[in-house]
Amino acid sequence: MNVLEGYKVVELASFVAVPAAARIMCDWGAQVIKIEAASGDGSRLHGRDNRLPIEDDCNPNYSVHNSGKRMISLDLKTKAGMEAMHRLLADADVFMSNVRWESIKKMGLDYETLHKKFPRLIYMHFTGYGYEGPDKDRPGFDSTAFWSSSGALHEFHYANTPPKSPAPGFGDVASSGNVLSGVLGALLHRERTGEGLQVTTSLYASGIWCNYSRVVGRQEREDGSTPPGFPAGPESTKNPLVHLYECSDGEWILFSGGKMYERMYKACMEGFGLEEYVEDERFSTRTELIKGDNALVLYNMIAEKFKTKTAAEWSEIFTRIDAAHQIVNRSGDVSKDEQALINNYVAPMTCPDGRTYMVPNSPVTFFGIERTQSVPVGPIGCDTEEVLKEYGYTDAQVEEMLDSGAAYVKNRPAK
Amino acid sequence: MRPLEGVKIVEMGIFVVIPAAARLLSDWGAEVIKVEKAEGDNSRKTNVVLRLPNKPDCCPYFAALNSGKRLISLNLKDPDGLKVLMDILGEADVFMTNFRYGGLTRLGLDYETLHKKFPRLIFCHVNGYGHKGPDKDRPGFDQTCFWARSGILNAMHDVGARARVAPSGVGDTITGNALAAGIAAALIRREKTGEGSNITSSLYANGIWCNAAHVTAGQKRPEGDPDKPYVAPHPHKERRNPFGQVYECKDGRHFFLLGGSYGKLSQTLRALGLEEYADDPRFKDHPTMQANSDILYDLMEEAFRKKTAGEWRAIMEEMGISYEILYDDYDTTKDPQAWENGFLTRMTCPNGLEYVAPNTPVEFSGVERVQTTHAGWVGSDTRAVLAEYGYTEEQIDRLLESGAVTAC
Repeated sequence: MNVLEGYKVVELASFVAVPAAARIMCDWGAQVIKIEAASGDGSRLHGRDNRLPIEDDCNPNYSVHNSGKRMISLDLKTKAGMEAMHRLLADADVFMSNVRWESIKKMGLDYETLHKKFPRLIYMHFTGYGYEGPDKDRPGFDSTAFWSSSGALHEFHYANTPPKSPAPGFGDVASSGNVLSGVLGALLHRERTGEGLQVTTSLYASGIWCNYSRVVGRQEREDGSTPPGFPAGPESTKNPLVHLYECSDGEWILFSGGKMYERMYKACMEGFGLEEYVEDERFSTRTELIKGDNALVLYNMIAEKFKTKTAAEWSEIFTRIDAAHQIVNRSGDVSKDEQALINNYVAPMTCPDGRTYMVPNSPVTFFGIERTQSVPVGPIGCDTEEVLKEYGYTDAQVEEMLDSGAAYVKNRPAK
Repeated sequence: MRPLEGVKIVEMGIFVVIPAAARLLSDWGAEVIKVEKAEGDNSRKTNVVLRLPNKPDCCPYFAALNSGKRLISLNLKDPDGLKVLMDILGEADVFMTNFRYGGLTRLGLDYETLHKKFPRLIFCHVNGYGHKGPDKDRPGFDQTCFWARSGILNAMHDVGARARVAPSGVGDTITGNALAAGIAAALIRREKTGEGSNITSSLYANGIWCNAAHVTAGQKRPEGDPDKPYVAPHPHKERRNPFGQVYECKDGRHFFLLGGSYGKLSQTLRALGLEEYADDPRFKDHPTMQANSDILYDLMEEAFRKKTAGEWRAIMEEMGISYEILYDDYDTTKDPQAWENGFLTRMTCPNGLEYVAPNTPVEFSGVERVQTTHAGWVGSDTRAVLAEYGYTEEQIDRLLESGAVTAC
């Protein structure tokens, strides 16, 4: 039995954070019905930024976060559309949305209203910045509310180079883990008490949580210490045993062998070919290393050494001494990486037109339960008719809804 | 009643990934007993680089991930220490760890052995690269497996600019979110089946999942390679969309402009004082604009330098265009938006000093958000926990003397 078998989820959400959480619920056995407007979820268009197809039957980018869902399209401004929505909710365990709070209230889909009608329903609502404060009504996206507000984006560049916009959807997916675990926490609570809770998180709250180390580390101090400054360049490092280095072939290695600094120092120095400094007290403990320019001196020596061998040669040495490290991949390397393929982290997905794309699978494995693979997502409203009929609508009623626009199926054959 | 009340968790985590996941579950009502070696969890030493204190009465960095847990310290190489762990596991619902699997197996703490003894126990293990493949036994940290291997790190800088190591723990906390979800799902299933689960994930799997857009985009294409194949990093100027980029303002602050990508193009150009380009045929629709993005980018870069970030904020706010001024972490600790929502808290250490610390990011209706508090020192709850599990004072003293357990 899959983990969430028997649970029903209604998703009224766009872009990535909430859809990604619902996708994982699908993977774990829940039945997810996603409601889109006739114009479709805006993230159906995201693939074009990366020159991927965004066709109705072949949209690999959109499939990642929507694979396995049943897609229906309703116009919630119509009475009949909203009536259908309520029929779905009556039978659902979870409602998930990122529709802005004002609109949700106007539609009567707020927690208070729904909780009265469906007291067992788990109500997940996701925001950009939270329900309070000056920014509560501002639109939030991951690049703004997750990355820019939390300080995390500033941590990816040096003072003398401009910051870059983050990898698309990253903050959303990071937040989706909080959306998902929150929903499941509430579901466990309901199994034991019968009570449906409202659960929420935001991009900003998740950004702060993920960037916790710098949020804690860079604050004003009353203990008399000064926070570390914003680094001007790679030479500002405080731990050269955890750093990026360029190799003789122009590839970069993220060397992380010195996470447990004192324990790994000797092995690392021997690995670099810097045996003569193994006993050097300036470098052998973290306490001494951060004094004066000790860290810089060590960084320069290591950086010089790295230029004498290729990334592959270094990797062999570091593997031998069991020092954590990684050649910095390009995103395109991942779908060819044996390690990713054998663990089923990325897998081929074939669109109905026969084209095959490599697409990531969701990241958690339950042993004994086969990992759910990404499948192509169909056009807007492709499951509308089937779902409505399942919920008691007659053929004639479905026809009427489609004719009036209360429900929608893209590319519906003309009568 | 908090959602996970009554759930007992034994956490044997080092660094961030497992401790972060357990902290979430602890905030939601689970009782978490964290097992450390006598020297403590390695992450207690991360304070050095952040220049934060790390003392029994003040360890703010460690508190962010370990607040609310009960801390016991056992020597698992000593059979008596291991026996204490087994006693605690006998009453636990969840065991979560990121010890290397070989080490766990040698101690008899692998899934197979524990499942036989405790069939209802949910077992959660996480590693760097996954349980199969050539790298399954390699040591991994979030900077290597999550960031470097998945391609995200490479996508976070421009060609010509130096990449920086990701701030510590970001990939770990994200992976921790997925683990917390996996554990909650397994608990739900156990309510129905009575069965435990064996859950795993890896830092690499989560890196790929978070980098889905670029992983999908970066592959060899069945439709033939596009004229400009997608390979990050790009040179700064070769951006395909001048929206969703960072611009420098007159006062040197960085401004993230988002609005415009999907239909607000001419409105945004007017807001930037570029009225004469608002109806320019080179920017008339998304594909045409993409083809001319370098021209548009230069225009916008120049426009942004004419006003301060604050002035731009007022303009964008007025026009309803999405934006954000880049905060540094220091701005974040003072942001009223974070304070009013309870995303941050002020934590007083026993020594009287106050620090700002993040709270966990999920809220449930009618359940008060748990605040981050001082986390305590290695073994601060050893005595109390052992006593609860039936050990007498004399037995505890003997265990302390032999070094099988440590307390403070």
